[in-house]
Amino acid sequence: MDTFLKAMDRLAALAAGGERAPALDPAAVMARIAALPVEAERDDFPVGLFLGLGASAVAAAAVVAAIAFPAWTDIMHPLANQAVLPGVTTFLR
Amino acid sequence: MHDADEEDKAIIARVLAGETAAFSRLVEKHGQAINQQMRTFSRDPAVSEELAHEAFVEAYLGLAGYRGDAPFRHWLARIATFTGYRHWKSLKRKAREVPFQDGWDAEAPGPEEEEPRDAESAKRLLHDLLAALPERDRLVLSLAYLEGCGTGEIAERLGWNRSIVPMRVFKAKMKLKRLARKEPWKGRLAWIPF
Repeated sequence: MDTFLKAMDRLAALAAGGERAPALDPAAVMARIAALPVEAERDDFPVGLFLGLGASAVAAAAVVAAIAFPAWTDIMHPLANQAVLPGVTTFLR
Repeated sequence: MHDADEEDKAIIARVLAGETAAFSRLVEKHGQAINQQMRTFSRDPAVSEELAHEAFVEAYLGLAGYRGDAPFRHWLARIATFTGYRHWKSLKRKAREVPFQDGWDAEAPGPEEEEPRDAESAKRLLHDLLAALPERDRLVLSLAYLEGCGTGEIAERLGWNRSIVPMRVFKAKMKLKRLARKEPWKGRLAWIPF
């Protein structure tokens, strides 16, 4: 073995002695654990956020489509006027 | 499996059943060993104790993930190793963010020294020298030199395949040797006949 690695092994053997670390105070660790934020319940699934993000994605896609394909909106507008709006009006009544 | 391991498992079952206070028994049993282990990651006793606390909190949070196929103390030692490693990483990040604030817990190499004759000066020299290596090499050699871990234990602690450990240790040692031949370490290690 080369002299450098031998010297490192000697150092390591010497370093293994010396002062030992003290035991930990369990109360200090338990205090930290007690201070942890309460875990979110599994059934607290953020339904509102999920639906909101979904609706936003659909709206964004519609805007992009309207900008990118004006011809598509020309077709869709009359269809919307004829089918969707009367349906909504009936539902509201 | 030893009685001590069975006792740990019984305590863990109680903690997982909602008896959080039972965890303090695990801290009592393994606190000293983990505190000692964290001295590898910082020579400052206050910092190493803080890291040991952090390791126990992480162990508590991940307790449901302990499968029980290895003794709890091995699982805990692995968590503590990664806690310490993250500490080094965060110190390095901070040192990068504030470039004029020199170094983390590594001391600047001192003037030419003689071969250390006592444990504390040997530890100081090893810590300082290893701190100059990249983190992964530092970690593997810290486990070997400061914690006295063999191939199997290094593999277990780092989650590596046992077969790659000797090569990684060898490469890290060679990097250390190259480093030691350059200033400022060359002067401090002048007692080693290269």
